Amino acid sequence: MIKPKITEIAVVTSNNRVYIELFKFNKNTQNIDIEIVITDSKLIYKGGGDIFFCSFYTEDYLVQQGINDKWFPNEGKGVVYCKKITKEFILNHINSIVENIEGKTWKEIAEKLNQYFGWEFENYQGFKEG
Amino acid sequence: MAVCFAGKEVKQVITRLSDAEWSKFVGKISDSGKRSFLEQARKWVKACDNICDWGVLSGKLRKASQGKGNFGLGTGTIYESDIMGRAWVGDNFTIASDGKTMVSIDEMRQYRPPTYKPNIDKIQANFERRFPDQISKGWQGNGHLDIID
Repeated sequence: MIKPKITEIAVVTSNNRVYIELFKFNKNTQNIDIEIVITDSKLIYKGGGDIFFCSFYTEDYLVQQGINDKWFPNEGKGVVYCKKITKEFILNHINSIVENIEGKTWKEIAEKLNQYFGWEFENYQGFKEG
Repeated sequence: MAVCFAGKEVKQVITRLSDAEWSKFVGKISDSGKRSFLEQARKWVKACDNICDWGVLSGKLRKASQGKGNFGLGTGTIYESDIMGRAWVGDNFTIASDGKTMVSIDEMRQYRPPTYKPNIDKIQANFERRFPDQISKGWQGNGHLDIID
């Protein structure tokens, strides 16, 4: 059995991609988009990994903004609602999912992860000439 | 594109250089050092010559700019990928604080340099874009270029 291994967690801002360790959270952080780069634990020496996504929203933010279709990136997959967004909450949430997944192949692992996160190969359309 | 023009200029310079000019240009250098430099330069120039099919590259970029969701853009070398990435984000792009990702000045496009993807066991680069009316900051269009170096 192989296990997934996180190689990067980054916060996506409008004009930047910041490693979560460097991102400055504050009490006004009400919504945040996260990218997680995960690879096969046996292939970690190759670097990189598939990119997964999730978004965190505070309940207050949803109430303030109202809910509509645009709220659900990746058809709602990977969207987490919480009272307060903190670095610890995000890392605990992500780690608790990743640590409990294993599989015989990377495909199996990625599909399990895809139940919780958006995935860059979800509904992937291969290249077609023309 | 600027890189490619620079490549052509280097080619012209290298092929024109006499030994005297060479010494003036690089100073004193051993013959083996000169051979090694020339070998590298020739490889680079050859790469420049091979990739100057702008029709193919612009076709891939057009696909990236029109695609939605996750989709393939075909294959290319690392060199082609970087040139396409530079064109994708345009002038005055910024480098994200991860030190590698390039973001366009209007924040609507991002180029992620080639990295290994276990799902396909290949190296890929990503050409990502946002849609004008989206609320989340995620990337809604994600073109994948397979690297064949």
